[in-house]
Amino acid sequence: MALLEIYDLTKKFGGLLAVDHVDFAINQGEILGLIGPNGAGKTTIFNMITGVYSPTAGEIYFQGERIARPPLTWRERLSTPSWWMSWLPIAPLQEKWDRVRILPPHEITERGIARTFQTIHLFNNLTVLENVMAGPHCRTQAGVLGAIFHPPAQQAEEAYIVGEAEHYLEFMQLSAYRDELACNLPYGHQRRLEIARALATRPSLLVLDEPAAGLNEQEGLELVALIREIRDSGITVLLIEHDMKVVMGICERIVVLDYGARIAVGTPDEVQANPRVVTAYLGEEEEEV
Amino acid sequence: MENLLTRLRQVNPLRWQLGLIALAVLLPLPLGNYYRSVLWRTGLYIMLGLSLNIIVGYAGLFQLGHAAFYALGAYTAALLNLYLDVPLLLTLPASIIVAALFGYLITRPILHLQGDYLCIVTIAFGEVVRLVLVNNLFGITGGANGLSGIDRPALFGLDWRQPIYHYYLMLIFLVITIFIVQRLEHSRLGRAWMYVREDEVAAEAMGVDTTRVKLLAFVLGSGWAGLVGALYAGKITVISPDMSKFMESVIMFCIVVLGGTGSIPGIFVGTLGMITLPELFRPLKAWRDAWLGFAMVTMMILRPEGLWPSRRVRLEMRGAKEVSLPTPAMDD
Repeated sequence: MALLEIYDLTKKFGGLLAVDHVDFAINQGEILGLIGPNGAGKTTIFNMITGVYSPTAGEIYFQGERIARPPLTWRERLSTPSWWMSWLPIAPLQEKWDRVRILPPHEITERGIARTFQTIHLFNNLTVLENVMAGPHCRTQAGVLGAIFHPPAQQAEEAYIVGEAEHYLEFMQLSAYRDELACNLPYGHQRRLEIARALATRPSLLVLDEPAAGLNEQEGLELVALIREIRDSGITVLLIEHDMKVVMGICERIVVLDYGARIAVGTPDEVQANPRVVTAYLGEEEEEV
Repeated sequence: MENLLTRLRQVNPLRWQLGLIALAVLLPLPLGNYYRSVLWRTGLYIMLGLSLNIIVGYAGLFQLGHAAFYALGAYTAALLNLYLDVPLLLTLPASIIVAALFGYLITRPILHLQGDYLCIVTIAFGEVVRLVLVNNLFGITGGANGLSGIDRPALFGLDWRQPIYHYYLMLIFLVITIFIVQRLEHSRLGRAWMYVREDEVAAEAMGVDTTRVKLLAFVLGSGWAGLVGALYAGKITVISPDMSKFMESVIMFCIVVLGGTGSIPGIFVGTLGMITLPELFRPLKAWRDAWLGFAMVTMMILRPEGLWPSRRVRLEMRGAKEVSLPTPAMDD
């Protein structure tokens, strides 16, 4: 079974059709590239996977469970019994509602999809370690009482959080900057820190939004190696990217979008040979005068 | 000054904490009743400042109606005491719960609002509470005159008309407050507040339930303000809807912002400036509002992060490049 399945995904912003009936699936353990010219709808799909937008039509399944669907209208809500009862603390009723409702971004992260941002979104004034400590947040549960009374469970949890954070800093080779403020890191390191933070949520699917943007050649190569390493550790990777060199180098399969619609799927070689892809990227060949 | 501070930091924290507590215990002894009351009032506002600081400082949200929860706590204690004869100290949990409950009910529907919008709604709530109390809700809140004849706390058979006992009662709660607030700040929840304050989008993407975390800040802050309200009712024994007036909320907000958002010592400094000094210079009362305005304007121009800010808030306000942490040794 595929890890993430996208069916008939559509998103309209007013009159603009940003994503047009897109289908594709990501298999367990692969690196899938999602490419397309500017404005092709890559980031919109991305935002629907991570729960920032809800689709206008279509559905997304992750590990066999629906994580995105069009929002219910009020009429639908009122006629859904599980909506009326969802506030009751009864597990079967809540599960029923869980299957209908729209998941907010933090719950999608909890289910195992972690993301990075196209424009870096670090906690700038916190240290590098504190940034990565945000990752294990959704895997731990100490609340107010834990904070005040420091029971053994809470202490163990704090140690776990710091341990996890340090582990992923080590993995992304950022340990030397542990107590540096995130905003003082060089750009390439900030990118890596964002990936470390996403990995610290222990995802099964890592979605990278243009991770190579703004990196130089050397940093780009390092990044490719890192992404491979991440995949080898058992995490599936969805890569949204502009940089062709990066995409062709590491992706096993590529999905190409143009004007919101899927125009090609296949291995890098197949996609490169596809005339529709060439047209989308280079434009129609004009008749010579 | 910097040197003194760094040297102070090297002293075992437990030692100077105990030293400060000892100082707070001894401080009122040589003073007369008036000054003891001033100290009591100062402590009360420090607690209010600390509770508001959870909302404004840690979670980075606006709250300009904090006095409403203070008033709700006071009225809860007073009503339970007057109508059901519950001893004042036993009404404290009820005050906390009622204020926290209202904190939850009011903020739940407006949490998605940002900045100024949230600010306006909280101001409105403060006014609603005041007007409801003025209009004598269910005929039990006493209208514009408020409630009087509230019992003082009864404990150890002491003469609770003496301000000094109220001061020590306040001090016990103040120490508890500081302990709790400190623990909250350095916990998983405290970090979640930090993440939300820094970048809500990223926090949500990292799996932080931002709604829940912000609600918790409001509930904890409001509940604690309710407790302070009950303590106030126990000493003054007369309460009125004026407790919830807008100026009260503004003063609390100023304590947090002028003292140093997010910092515990900052709240002390802020209370000193906003409550203690105006109280000590009572003869100049007419100048008080002018002083407030002057202090605000000067501070916002010269030191927007407050007098004794937390390190982080200073970074957020001044830009991080200016004040940087010591750099770790790099291998390459």
